[in-house]
Amino acid sequence: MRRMWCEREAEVVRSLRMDSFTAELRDHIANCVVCAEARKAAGLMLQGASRLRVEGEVPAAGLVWSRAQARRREIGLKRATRPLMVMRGLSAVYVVLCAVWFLHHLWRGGFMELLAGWNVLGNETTCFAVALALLAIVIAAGYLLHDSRRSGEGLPST
Amino acid sequence: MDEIFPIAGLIPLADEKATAMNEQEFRSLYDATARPIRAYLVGMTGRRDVADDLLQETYCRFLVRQPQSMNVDETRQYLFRIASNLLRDRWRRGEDESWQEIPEHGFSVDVDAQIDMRAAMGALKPRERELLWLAYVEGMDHAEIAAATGLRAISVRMLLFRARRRAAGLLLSKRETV
Repeated sequence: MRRMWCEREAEVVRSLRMDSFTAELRDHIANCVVCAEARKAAGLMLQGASRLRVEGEVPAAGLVWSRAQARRREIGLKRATRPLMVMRGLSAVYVVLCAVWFLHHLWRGGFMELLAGWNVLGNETTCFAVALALLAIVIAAGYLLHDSRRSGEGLPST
Repeated sequence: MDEIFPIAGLIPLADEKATAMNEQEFRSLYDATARPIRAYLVGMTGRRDVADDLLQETYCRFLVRQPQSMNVDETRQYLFRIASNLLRDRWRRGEDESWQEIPEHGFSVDVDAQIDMRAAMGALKPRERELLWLAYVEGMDHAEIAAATGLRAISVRMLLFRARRRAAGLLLSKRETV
């Protein structure tokens, strides 16, 4: 089985970088498959790297700094508005629960009896107010769901 | 290379104002580390435009995270780790897996050697290019490569062995066909 590594591999690469091989190291490379391969592969990579390290300009530090600051502000804002998002979610859940409760009673007829009971008391205004409140809940639920969907898409929330 | 950067993260995050890296400190860190990282990114993707984008993203993520108590070597490894993760994200999405030819910028170099380099780089897998670069260009040992790539040191040894053998084989076969 071939050896996977040689303890002198790092030394070979270092010498290659400085372009100074001792005669003893040359002898070792001639007799060590690992170091011979390392010399070839390292030579290849160093050749490409030496050219790439000097060419072209890196993006300006100020530009990167500004971009990072903008990113930090964005993350800070997201963190600050997280409780608000949680509250929004909770209110949406509350509205859905109210709607389920209402539909459940409507289905079983109990709610109609309740309305009828209020009618017996002769309070038609109360019936109207309850109907209006339910309508408001439904509209509010629709708005909240729509708004949270927009926020989730990353659009500016109203 | 023994310089110590006043890295922001000597930093409990709770007291961010007192400890966050300022622009001047960032500039000195950037000046010392950006070129090797850019060369790494160009070497891995073969595309300068992509490398510049990834370089900016690397430093943005570094500044946003502001890691704690790092010396120069650790900072350098951390930056290479972010860059490697960004590269891997692109490779996972199927971008830059095949190495692009880097257009020349007017350098007069050994043409034969450059053809060898291009052919071999194009034939190597992304992970192989990554390991060979970190080991031979950046001079990292197995533990440092493991820290920079998120691999285990024992896996690095095995993968590096395969990559080295493949690169050497590619160079040999290229020369034999010429």
